[in-house]
Amino acid sequence: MGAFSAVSALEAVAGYPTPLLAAKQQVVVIGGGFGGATAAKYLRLMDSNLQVTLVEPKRYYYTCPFSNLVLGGYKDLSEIRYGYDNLSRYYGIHVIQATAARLNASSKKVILTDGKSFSYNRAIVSPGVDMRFDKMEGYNYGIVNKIPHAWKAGRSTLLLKKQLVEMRDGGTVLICPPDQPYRCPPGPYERAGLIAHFLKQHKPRSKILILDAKEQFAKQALFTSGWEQLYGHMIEWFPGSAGGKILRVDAGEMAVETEFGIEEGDVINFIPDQWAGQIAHESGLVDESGWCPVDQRTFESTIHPGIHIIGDAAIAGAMPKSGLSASSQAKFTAVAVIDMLNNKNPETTSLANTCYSFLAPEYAISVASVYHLSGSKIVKAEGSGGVSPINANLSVRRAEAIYAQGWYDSITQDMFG
Amino acid sequence: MTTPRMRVKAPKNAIKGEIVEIMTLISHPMDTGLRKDKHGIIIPRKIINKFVCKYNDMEVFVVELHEAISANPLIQFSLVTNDSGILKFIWFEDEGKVYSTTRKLRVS
Amino acid sequence: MRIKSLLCTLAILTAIIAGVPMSLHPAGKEGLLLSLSCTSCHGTYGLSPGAIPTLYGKSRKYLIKTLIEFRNGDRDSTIMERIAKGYTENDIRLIANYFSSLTKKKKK
Repeated sequence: MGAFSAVSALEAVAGYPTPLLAAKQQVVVIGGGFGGATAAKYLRLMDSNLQVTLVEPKRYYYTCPFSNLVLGGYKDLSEIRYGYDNLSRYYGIHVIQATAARLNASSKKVILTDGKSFSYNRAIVSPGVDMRFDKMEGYNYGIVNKIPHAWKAGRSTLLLKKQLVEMRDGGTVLICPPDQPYRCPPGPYERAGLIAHFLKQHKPRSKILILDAKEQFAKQALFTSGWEQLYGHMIEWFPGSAGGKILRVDAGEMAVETEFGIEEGDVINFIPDQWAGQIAHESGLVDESGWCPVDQRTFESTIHPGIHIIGDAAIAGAMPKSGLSASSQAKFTAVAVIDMLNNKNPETTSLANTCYSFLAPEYAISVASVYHLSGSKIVKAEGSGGVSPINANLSVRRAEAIYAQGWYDSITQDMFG
Repeated sequence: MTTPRMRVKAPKNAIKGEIVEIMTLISHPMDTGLRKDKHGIIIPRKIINKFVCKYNDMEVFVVELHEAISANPLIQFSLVTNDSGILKFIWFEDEGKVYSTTRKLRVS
Repeated sequence: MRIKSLLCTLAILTAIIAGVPMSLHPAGKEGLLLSLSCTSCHGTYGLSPGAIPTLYGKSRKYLIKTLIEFRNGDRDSTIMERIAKGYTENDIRLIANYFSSLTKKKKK
């Protein structure tokens, strides 16, 4: 072993030229979430000659993963909060707390909302999602304090939690998940379970109705059998064709209208349709779907060269819109960006995703897959992937809950540590 | 137990002689009598065993349900009418309880 | 508190390693590239701060054996069987080369 490493090290010194002293290349990263923070860090880890600027409007980032545990009363919001100090201190990333208004692909400039602008050689945009306030009758930005979506963690999460805490015992919680595609496909169902966990302890006569736009959902069999086991009939799920499809939101009456009539909720968590975050629209990076088409070999925009889009906003083949997908895409794209800046053919590698979902604080399930390129498309690696076994006993669910926490500790360290 | 929630999807208006699609759903656990609770005690059977739809007091659709039907049974059927009237949806539970709801249908 | 101090160590370690660009790593670039998928869950450089096992500096033999066993379903796991099945034996060797070579860096 020792001899092997020593030989390899010598080869490495001979095999790779030391980087030339040239003008430093500038890469700008827009957005400091799972995609952006990871991309910025890995760009610097893999090429310390790069100048990397991270533009993020918020001082603190609240992770969407684990925010349902805040709703369930199992974690405090402060436990899912991260800052950017380590990225600047340890990795030499220039972190700018500002809002990027748009990118100009032809002049290779980022324009901030305060009017300032700066140049880049390549840009990585990880804008996440924006909620659509133009799709559902009765649903608009003016009612988000009454009907919080809590689909971006932070204030909205606390608002929904407060409503749950203040609800009467015997009340009804409506959760209304959108149709695909949206951020975190299993998220609404994890939320239902963790809210049930809270209600079972504090308001056991309450009900949760999931009025779904879809006919089926991620890890469905695992969720429904687990809910029954943990919460009896507290959670009821309605597919789109059987009363789930919402026609109208009525914030005044605290109700939604479905094809099967009016459903009233003491708390309503309407999760709207989504599309790529605003800067992607302002910069002309979206297609008619509202999401960003990319060359899946490099995540470079197929509309504007020089700009790479990663994370929820990108159309990334078979990969779901999840935090780990974004993290995996960030590293994959950092490699491509460095190669392209050095006029080399971008080297590609495999990608991965794992999503853990809690049904209770000590009960979790997972879906995991490896992805790779098949031609120019990202597909699932044959033989890989799948969900937790349906007939596993409670010790397996408990182990997955421990690993879910382990996953969270690791990925947040990988982003911000 | 409180009255289970009944939901109906039916048009308010219909054209004489044309097919009307109806869907109805009752929130009901449909306990099969085979499951045990966490103390190992069998949960007694309690299911909706029959559903009837009446139109102006005439039975137009009847279905018998058994243990294998999942919780919250959803029933879809169609009918053709010539006159306006009242649709009545009646659910029969084990031990004799009956739940019902109505909808008006205007035929022109 | 344990996590805090571990994170501190991690920060110092990564700061040291950050001096050497990852791409110049002696184990070759292929292994590094494949390892990027591992580190999202196992921590940067495979240094895990929590319940997920650390890969950093583990022996090559152990990593290969374990991953092959996961892949063949011969070793109990939650998700690792589903993940390992996505990699060829050659991929596994490259990944093992990369993580096992990392111990040397720490001594620098």
